Amino acid sequence: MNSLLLNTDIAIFLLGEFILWVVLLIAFGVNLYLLKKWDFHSYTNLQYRIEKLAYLIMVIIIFSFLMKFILLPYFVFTMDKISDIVPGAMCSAGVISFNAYGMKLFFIKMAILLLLMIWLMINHYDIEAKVYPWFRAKSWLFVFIFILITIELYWDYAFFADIDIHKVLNCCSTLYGLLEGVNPLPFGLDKREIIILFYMIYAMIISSTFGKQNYILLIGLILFIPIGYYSVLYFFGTYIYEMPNHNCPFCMLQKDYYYIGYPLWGSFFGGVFLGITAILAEERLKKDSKRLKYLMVLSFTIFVTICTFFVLHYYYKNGVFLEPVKVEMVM
Amino acid sequence: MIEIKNLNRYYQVGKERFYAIRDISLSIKKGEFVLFHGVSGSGKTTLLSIIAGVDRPSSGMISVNNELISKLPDQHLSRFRNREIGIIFQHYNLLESLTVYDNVSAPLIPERLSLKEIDKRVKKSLKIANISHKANSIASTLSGGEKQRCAIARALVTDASIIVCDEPTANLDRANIDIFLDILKKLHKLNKTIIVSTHDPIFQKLDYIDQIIHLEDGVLVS
Ligand SMILES: Nc1ncnc2c1ncn2[C@@H]1O[C@H](COP(=O)(O)OP(=O)(O)OP(=O)(O)O)[C@@H](O)[C@H]1O
Ligand SMILES: [Mg+2]
Repeated sequence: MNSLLLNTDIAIFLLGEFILWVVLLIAFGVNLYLLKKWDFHSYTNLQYRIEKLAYLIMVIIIFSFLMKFILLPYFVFTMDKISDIVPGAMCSAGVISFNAYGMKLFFIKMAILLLLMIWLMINHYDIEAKVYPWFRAKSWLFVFIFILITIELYWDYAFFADIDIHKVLNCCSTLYGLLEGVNPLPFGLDKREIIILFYMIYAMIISSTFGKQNYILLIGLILFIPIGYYSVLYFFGTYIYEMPNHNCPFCMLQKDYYYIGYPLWGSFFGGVFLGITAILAEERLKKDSKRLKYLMVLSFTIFVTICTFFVLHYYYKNGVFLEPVKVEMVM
Repeated sequence: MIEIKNLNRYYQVGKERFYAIRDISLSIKKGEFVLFHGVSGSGKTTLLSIIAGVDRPSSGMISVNNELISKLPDQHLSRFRNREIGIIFQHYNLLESLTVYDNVSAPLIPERLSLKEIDKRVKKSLKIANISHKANSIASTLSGGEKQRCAIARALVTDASIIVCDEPTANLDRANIDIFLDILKKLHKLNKTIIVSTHDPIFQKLDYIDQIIHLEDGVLVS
């Protein structure tokens, strides 16, 4: 047995994911039964029992979903912690890219969280409408989410089981930093352009939210995913680290940087997910989703404020902005 | 408006199903005064509870004010109950350590009204229920008849359109029964739908009863 699986944090994490999966498995079985028998317009004893069961299952699903939202930061935290015992890894960047499962795992976890948020939204309006108009939609969505969660559980296990603590790893400076000097920024942008875009897209998201232009908002969100990410990686991140060539999305999750990565990435992805969920609610369910949009605006504003704060803080302290050092040879 | 079709409520007793009410169909129009009459165990409380949204049927349809209440998700059902139904329980179910005023204002808490509006409504219900003079008394110190009038005021305060009373006269003496019947008459004039479950023959003599529903072993008899 691989010794990493016996590491306390990993064991707790995997156990937590497993217990949750078992609970969701039961909900999944009941959910399939409900899908088969559901007939809202019937007044039979069976239908009444099913409605009660549906309510119970809904409570279980909501509870498990909230647990999932807690387990993601714990997953990141665990990866960060084991970067201490994996040689060569200075932060989660090394751990996550140790094997093929790392990045896949990251993306499936993100997809699951987005779908969970959408499920919660549909469920909210479904219950609010009294006659369960979206019962089948949300039930099928749950089936799909459960399949993803099953894959995720397997990858969780496979990922940690496959980490060999005797193999020396790369760290973020070789993963992200080396690219410096070639052309690190996507879409052929330079640093100044990407920052201007960053604030412009933020403004576009805010104005389209209040102007009720969902398609512009959607475009804003889609653009903000890469632009926001790369802006942090190649610009704002360097101010967090106060090192011009340190381009890593993970180190900022560590204690040295006051765990700022958690609120930073949390508010970023939170904003994106809230935005997509709100657009779906309005365009597909025809429901006014003001509250979700306000939360999205709040989320992005926290994100942009954190980013901006580190730049201003650095400037206030040092009277200059960070200039990237041209490095020809790294390390 | 209350519509009931083929309503059943049974309890699982061991392997047997015991039907507290069986295949009930009836309809009650707005503003009607209706009696549920029958011996002890005939299913009056069961039927009343389902109409009031306190219990749910095992099968069958019930709609109250155009709302299919047996199918409402829990949070909707409690909101419905709070707004549309005033319940006067046999044992009143007051909060014994609070004053009459506080007992009566309790159902308004979830409605988020201004203090002024709450005060206005509480005073109005206390007046209809003939209990204004005891507004500041602690509920546990009231007599049986006064407790009931406090319960009536509480049932009225949300301006519910339907008032249900379970065995309202069982614990009252003659004088209090007369006061109670007087209040019911007032409510009837206010166009409230009133449903009273009772085995007290005194109600059958009243001239403003619109419908008497006889129950026997959970079944309607005419
Ligand atoms: N929780 C329960 N479990 C099993 N049987 C029950 C339950 N509640 C009520 N019953 C039965 O259902 C039948 C109808 O009860 P219900 O309380 O409706 O009668 P009622 O007409 O109100 O009688 P009373 O005049 O004595 O109040 C009774 O035989 C009672 O024993
Ligand atoms: Mg009874």
